Amino acid sequence: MKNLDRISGIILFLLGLGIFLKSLTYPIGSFRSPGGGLFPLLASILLMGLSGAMTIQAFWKKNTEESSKAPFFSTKDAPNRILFGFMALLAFRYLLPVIGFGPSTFLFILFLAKYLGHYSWKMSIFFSVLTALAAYYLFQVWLKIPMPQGILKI
Amino acid sequence: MALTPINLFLCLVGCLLGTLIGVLPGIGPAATIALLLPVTLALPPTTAIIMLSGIFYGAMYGGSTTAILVNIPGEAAAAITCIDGYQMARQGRAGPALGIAAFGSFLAGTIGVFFLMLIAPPVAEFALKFGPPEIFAVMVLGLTVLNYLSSGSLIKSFMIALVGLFVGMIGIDISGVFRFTFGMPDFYDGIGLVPVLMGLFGVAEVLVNLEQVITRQVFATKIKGLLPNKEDWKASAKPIARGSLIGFLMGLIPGPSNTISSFISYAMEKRFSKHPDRFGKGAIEGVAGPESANNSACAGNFIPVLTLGIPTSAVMAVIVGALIIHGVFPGPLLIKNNPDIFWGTIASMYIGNFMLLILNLPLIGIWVKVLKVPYGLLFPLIFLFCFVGAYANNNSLVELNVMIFFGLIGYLMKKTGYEPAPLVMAYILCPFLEEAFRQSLIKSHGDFSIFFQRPISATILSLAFLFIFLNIFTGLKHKRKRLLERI
Repeated sequence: MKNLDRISGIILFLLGLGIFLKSLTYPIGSFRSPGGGLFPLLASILLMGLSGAMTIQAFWKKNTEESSKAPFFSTKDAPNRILFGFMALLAFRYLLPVIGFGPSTFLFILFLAKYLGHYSWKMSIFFSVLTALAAYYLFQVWLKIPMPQGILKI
Repeated sequence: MALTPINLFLCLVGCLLGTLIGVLPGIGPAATIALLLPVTLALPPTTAIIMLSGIFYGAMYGGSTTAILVNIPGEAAAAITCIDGYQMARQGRAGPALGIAAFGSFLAGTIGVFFLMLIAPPVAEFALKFGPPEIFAVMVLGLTVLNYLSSGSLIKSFMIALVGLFVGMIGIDISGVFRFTFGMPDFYDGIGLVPVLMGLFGVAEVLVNLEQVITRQVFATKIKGLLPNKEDWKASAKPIARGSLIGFLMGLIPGPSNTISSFISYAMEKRFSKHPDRFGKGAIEGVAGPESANNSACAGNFIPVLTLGIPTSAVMAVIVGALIIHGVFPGPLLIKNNPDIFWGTIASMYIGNFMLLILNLPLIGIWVKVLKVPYGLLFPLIFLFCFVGAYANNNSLVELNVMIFFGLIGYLMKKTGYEPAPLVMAYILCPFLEEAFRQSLIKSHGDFSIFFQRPISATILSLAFLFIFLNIFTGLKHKRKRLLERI
């Protein structure tokens, strides 16, 4: 945990620093007539202070606690599963405008059911066809949500 | 007004959906309400709020069903119900456990709504005297208490709340300055609430659950005799009454009051009980008290929202967001300007509680079947709903990017011990907080002491500082944690 505290502390400190520098480019005004940059400026100073304090504290404390040895992922498969899940989300997002809502939903569900749900091909295909059809009729036809149609116009 | 057929129907839909998501793991009420926001845009505001609050109560009911039958709380507030509820189920008393949870929730919800009706108008009247410094102070107190009560470390909660403020600052500010938009026109109006919520509460939750293949066992007994017997009632009457009162009082305080109040109620029942050793082994009081407390806390939760415009939890933050999208600004003027919304919401709670009582008992069989849907088939659907919800909000692909981004951020936050609720709350409050801050400074000609010279804002701010100092100097939080672990 301590290790993660250091990393997250440093990231948040850098975020605060970035906001601080960016705020300086906005009109700060004065306390009398505050401009758009004042509030983010004060908030970023606060964030840098807190994250700096936490990072130093995390370095200061010795790594004696058991929690420091706890692994980031709960299982050995976890990094792959998370990566697969996340890539599937990105793929769905970028396939959506290209091949349309129905087909991309089918591929998305098929991939997730097969590789992360560990179902057989037969079951995965059955489930993804069913879901894609149901989602298409529910959202696009019945609720009339204009989902992207893609080149196939479906 | 609330009794028109369309309102009744949508209240029913809300309650059913709420129970469904309460039963299903991996998606909470905050995400569901956010998902349904686009659907409600075509409805009049009162109807929309009635439906959305129905989801909230429904989720509380559904959460306890899974706690009792599977030993998995569908919602955090039902965690304590697992202890004795699951034990009762194992002893073949799942029926009375579910029954008393439903009746207790109904009674407590009704008592809570009654108090809400009594207390909200005078509080709003009082809050009308608030100027910008007081409003600023109340929001700071709200954020502080939320941070104080959230389970992670206080410093992390504050940092993540500050990050939430930055997210809220994206877009054009009150003086017309473009802030943190990086030249993208999609961000000029700010980052949309729905994709942020879908990401933090929907996608992130599923990603965490995805780490391992989830399997779970539904307790395979026949559920019979849902009605608690005379003895059960005798044992539960006082816990329900005490739970209702505690829940409501806790609900007034910003923070995850549903969860906290159920823990407190459990601890109290254990202390009051003549046979404390029965707790943990299927004591019906251990189900009746906490279940009542968390439902009555729901009613209490509405008071800061409807009278001050301050959300007390992630769910309430989403409801505030929904009201704003519908052009209604929650705050002291709400009761005066939009009495139909205020009383409509209250009426919907009565109706919703009643509907849940008659719905839940006969439908428990169906919920048990829903529980058996394997997670491997469920999570692709949750992802799909998040996608459609985030997209349909503005028909924008950029919002999908925002959702995926916040999904990843939410996942990393969960893994490193940062909670999403302070971020969301700060993000929603940001525009109001900043406006109150800037107006106060203009009013005082740049003098910061304005926040401490006016009696009301000074009192409220001192309370906020008290919470911070208590935490730093006495390590009270650790004591609280230990207390919670002990019960």
